[in-house]
Amino acid sequence: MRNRTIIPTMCHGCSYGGYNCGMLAHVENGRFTRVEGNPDHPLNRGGLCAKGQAAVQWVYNPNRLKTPLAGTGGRGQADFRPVSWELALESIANRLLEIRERFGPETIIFSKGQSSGWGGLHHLLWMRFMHVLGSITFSNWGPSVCYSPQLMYYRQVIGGPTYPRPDYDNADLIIEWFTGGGTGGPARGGVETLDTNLRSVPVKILDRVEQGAKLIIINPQLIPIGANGRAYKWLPIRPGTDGALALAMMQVIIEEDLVDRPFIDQWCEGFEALKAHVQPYTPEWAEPITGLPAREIREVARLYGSTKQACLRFSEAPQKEDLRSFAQSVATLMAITGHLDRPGGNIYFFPAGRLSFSTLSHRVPKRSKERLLGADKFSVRASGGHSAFFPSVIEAIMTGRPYRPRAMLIFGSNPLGTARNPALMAEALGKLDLVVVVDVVRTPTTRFADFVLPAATRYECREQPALWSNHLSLSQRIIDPLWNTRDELEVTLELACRMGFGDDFWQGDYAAMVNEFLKPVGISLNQLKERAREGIYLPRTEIMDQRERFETLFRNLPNGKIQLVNKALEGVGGDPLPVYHGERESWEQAEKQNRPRLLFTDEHSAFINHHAWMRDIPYLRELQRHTEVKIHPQTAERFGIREGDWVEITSPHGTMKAVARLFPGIRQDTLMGQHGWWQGCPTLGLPETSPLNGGTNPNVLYNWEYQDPLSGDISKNTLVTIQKGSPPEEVTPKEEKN
Amino acid sequence: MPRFGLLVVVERCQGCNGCVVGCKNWHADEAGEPGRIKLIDTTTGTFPDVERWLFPLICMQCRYPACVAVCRFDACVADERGRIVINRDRCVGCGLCVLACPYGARAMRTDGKAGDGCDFCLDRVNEGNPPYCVATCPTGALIFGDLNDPDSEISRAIRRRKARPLFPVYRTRPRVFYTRALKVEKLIPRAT
Repeated sequence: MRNRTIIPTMCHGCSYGGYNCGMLAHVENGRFTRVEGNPDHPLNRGGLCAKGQAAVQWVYNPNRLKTPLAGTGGRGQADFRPVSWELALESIANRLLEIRERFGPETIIFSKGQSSGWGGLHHLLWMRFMHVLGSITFSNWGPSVCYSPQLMYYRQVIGGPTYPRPDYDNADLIIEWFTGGGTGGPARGGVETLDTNLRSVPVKILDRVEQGAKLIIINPQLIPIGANGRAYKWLPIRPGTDGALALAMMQVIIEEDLVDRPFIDQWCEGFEALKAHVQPYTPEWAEPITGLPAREIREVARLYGSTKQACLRFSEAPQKEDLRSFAQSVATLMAITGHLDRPGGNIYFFPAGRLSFSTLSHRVPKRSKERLLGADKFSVRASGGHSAFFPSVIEAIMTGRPYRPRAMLIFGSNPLGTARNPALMAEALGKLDLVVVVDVVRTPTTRFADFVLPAATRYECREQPALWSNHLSLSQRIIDPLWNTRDELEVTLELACRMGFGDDFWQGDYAAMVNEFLKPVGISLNQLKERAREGIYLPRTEIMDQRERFETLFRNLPNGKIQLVNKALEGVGGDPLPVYHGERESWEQAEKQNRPRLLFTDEHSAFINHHAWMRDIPYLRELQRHTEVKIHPQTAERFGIREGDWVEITSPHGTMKAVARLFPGIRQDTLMGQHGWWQGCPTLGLPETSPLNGGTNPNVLYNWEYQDPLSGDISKNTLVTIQKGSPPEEVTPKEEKN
Repeated sequence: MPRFGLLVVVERCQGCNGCVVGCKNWHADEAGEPGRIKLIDTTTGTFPDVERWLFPLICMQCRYPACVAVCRFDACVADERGRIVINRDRCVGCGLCVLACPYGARAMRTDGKAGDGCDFCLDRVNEGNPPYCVATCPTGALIFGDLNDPDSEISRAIRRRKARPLFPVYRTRPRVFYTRALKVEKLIPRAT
């Protein structure tokens, strides 16, 4: 007689530990056997994508870290011996207290990845841990390579709490601007989340397109949402030139008076100056920069300007080093056309409540706050100065100025893979006195650790609530942690207690912590557990359903109005009016300097992985065995490359290897690769590769010093050469033998 | 007597591989075995006037199945409900069914024997649920139901969307229908 139970939980294929698709997990005789989508969950309504369907293999993955390890060799040697949790946590607690005593708490750095969710329970607990320890050096690469630098510009240019998201449900024109169009989270039907990028809402787009809305794709490649005859127009733009397109669209819209006059009169200042400023940015000016015909630019501008209910999605910036020209222009464009916070345009989401507990930031000593690394950066100040700027952290480690950080706690993150300069990151890790990595699987970063702690997957962890809009959903334990792994939240609580912080950490009581997290919405963990399948809907607030909330949105802007001539940005060295600067390694620069005219960027998201996660999962890996670079067939022919060849791509900064995928749906002058490739897949006989130069990591191709001056966003556009090459060298893992 | 069929609404397929991996998940397939569903991703045309097509290729559940017709060992039979059943003990791994299927829906397993046919998840259908791929498709691109009932969702959708089976010329009478069939059948790699 088989003992079968079905446990409702959330999927963890996307935002690990965040608000995710509902899942029903099947357990037979204590074994997690299969999953299905939860039809009662409003986000996915029974659907699941490939990542979610691979959950069982993610849990029983032979590649997982199985027991705590202590490093015995030098940094990067990956010589480990297994140790008990008791010994590992006691040693880490003692070392941290010792470093705090000798060098000050600010020399301890906490680094977490997107893997463990933004703003959720993990995030708050870890911030609280750091604050009680006395440090605010809570930082990672994310804010320098991800979508969040855009937030800063949006807040500065058009106000609001975050940035305005597309109201697909009511849109007659949808512009997907360098997004994945749903590749990041294909089953997520209802939300565009605050804490993630590229996680779109394909169901809503498909529904609207079927009802007659026009879909425009702006991307160097034709993305899947634009396939099957859905794209009304595809603008195959040269990567890194999107700011020029946005400015040219603005020029057409202003010249042809497609702007929203009443909105501008009531809510904007400085329109006449903007009008004069954009005059030279004609479509003819943008044509040689963007590689798009002027008439196409004009047509899209007219469509956007004349369609009342038109939305744009732009979550991941195509331009990093020149983020300002893109973010400032697009924000301005939405405003002057009257598409801001109106049905079918770009609207702001206000949740019905927030799950939260205090991070005890008042406990951080003044000295620590004053020594925040990167406090000279505008982006750090603009966000309230509560987390460091990671490139400044790395510089401090390398130079000892203004002081030398000593320890780094890394939870669910692989900074060696995320860094635009992995070799520098490796060197920096080698200079620290203590490196602790907590993760589910081995990463290139684990080999630089003094302690490697094996985390349980979320399917083996205790209850974790998450809230989106007004829906409260719960992640639950499916099976007990396998091997000698543990829930990282429980590990954090225990570490805090061992360091003498028990009073601030519920004396290690997990349920007490979750109940405090739930307190702001007035629901207890037990209440939520009883409704785990459908979740709990909080009452909607008035502001959630209002539109044109301009008074609220603009209240922090000068005079409560959008400043089209932005003195605040000018005051910190930015542009008062949007200007196109261009990336340093661009087509125009190649022409000027007579360099190879082949551009490289990475496509950011794919259906079968969440960033670098799950590439070792056989069900997913058999769909794509190697890292790929998309190349137009004509370009491939020019370089003597055939489908499936290993190729070497070399920029001024490094070389990476990838398998060529011939794709007629990409510009001839552009190659697009994928980030986050290094994992092997032993089940399919595929070896691990290196994230360093000559390996399979596109980040070696970029220059990490090419940063947007205000936000610190780091370039991911470069000029390359391509040639046939040999497969990358294999990396032999050492952690597994334990 | 219902006659179950499936409609692939190509306009709603985003190519996410949810059905491909979902089928393996539901049936607990070993990694490395050929799945029952393949995703076709083909781009045609000359830049920038290109078309990209993404859609799943599934066993067509033929009324007159070529795989059954060519099997000389009765290892591949259509049972009384019309589903294709593989009797692994009788299969010698000759591979004729793989060659015979005009839709390329059949593949050899790593043990050298013929791969499973799809049975429309009969266990689920008997419990009143749609096949797993249908239930799991995030965008509702797959519609399942009774072709004999002219008022069923699938029958209405087939009429409204002018769907038809791929390659009717083979006269196997598939029970899987596609929208944009004329367009997409040209993109399917042919076995021979």
